[in-house]
Amino acid sequence: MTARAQVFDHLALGIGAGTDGISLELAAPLGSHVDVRAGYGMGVGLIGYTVKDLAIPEHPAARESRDVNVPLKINLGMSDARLLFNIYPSANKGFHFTVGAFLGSPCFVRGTLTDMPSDYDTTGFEEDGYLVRARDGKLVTELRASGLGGPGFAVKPYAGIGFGRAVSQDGRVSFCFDLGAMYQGKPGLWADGESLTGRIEKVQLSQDEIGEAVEDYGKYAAFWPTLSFRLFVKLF
Amino acid sequence: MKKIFIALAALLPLLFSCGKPQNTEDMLAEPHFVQYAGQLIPRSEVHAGAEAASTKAGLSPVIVDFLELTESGLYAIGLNEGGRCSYHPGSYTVSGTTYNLSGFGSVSFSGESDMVELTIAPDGGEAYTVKALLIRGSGTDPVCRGWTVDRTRVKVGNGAADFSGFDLGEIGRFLRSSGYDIPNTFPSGRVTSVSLTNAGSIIFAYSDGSADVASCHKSGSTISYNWMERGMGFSVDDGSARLEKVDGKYVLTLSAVIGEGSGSIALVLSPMD
Repeated sequence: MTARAQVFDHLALGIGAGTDGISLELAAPLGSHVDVRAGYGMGVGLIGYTVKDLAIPEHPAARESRDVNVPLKINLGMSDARLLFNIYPSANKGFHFTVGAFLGSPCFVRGTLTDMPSDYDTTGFEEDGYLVRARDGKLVTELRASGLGGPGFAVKPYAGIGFGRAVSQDGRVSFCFDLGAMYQGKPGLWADGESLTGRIEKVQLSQDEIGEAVEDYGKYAAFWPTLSFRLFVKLF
Repeated sequence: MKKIFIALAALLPLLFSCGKPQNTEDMLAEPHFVQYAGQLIPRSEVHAGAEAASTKAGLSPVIVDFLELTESGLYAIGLNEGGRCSYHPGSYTVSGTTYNLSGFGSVSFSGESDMVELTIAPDGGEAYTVKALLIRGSGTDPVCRGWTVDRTRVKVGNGAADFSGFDLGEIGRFLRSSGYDIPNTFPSGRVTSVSLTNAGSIIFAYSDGSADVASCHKSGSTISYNWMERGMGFSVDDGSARLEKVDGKYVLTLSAVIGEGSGSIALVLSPMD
């Protein structure tokens, strides 16, 4: 017979991994049908993939220049807090719906161009008064989307389903599986830009500079699929 | 339950703040030589005066076509060399009515009326006196002063590049490496100062002892200018420039013709005094 859960009468600590990055969470029950989960996750540098031959002009300022191939390394880039609610239709089963939001950096994918021609260390292109150029042959770009938030802070609503209880009712350890999606809106490609006076800011690259690739394919990233596994240990 | 709230609070997200730059704007102090600044244009008889003086002394004539004394103690002198005016920059000090021009000699004049008696005494040459038109700036715009250039941004085609200071040689190399056809007449000097004057000039002083001078008219943030000689290796045409404040710094942006295309040169300025 399982004891009826009270509000915040237990606390569990969980670690997880998935397409939302590596995460650390605390979970507590809000009665028998709801657990609240709060934590932080980051995926910066995880799950790398390298496009070996991306063609770019050798001289960025020239009207006509031959192309050279450089590698583009793509990694996850998210870094955010989350506040989520597991809703259990049954008071003592593990199946649940999850709703909540991820809050934090709008960046979710990071792309790094390396071995760029030396011209790119001095020359780039200007975007809204900011010069975007490489540093030591490396140019870091980010796919960023803010969901319901603003340019500097993302609020990404999440909904999904899962199995397992974040706070075990009859044991110390529980294992959870979650599948869902967070809404992040249409992403844009951003990079560090330098103002005339040397101030560094993130700037969104326009279609003129990057072509239509982000416009064409970005719509598919408006909902970020989230598949994650999580191990919780009940602290008390 | 209190423990849980404390634990949850400890895990609240670190909010990413988008910090606005601090406003470093300061009021510009009055330039130190503002009461001495002015432009002197010797009348045509300067040639006769100079030639008479130099012939008497057995020297080559030093013919001054133009002299600008700036609000920050810099000067630009235009010397007539075979019918072409060649500009040279320097700094000056004042002693009574005598202006000592480093690297040139001295000049003296008195009076505030439009026409003054100007005595020109070049180093190692004979002094002579001519009539000259004196133009004092009517305004007291604090941006009319000497500036150093902290950094330069050149925009050309789809590209842009930043440079420390303002070195036309460095910019020329960048343009050539980018495939632009830059003529050999493109200057190679480093700009040591840029002066705007109330009398209506822009003076670019180069490290090699030369200068480019343009007459200008400032209206709001727009400056329209005309080179007195062909300035900057004809890479920057006559036209208009903008002087604006960006992040508390003054930025002078010149339109430029580069190769067959157009572009701009933006200079981030710091006041010299």
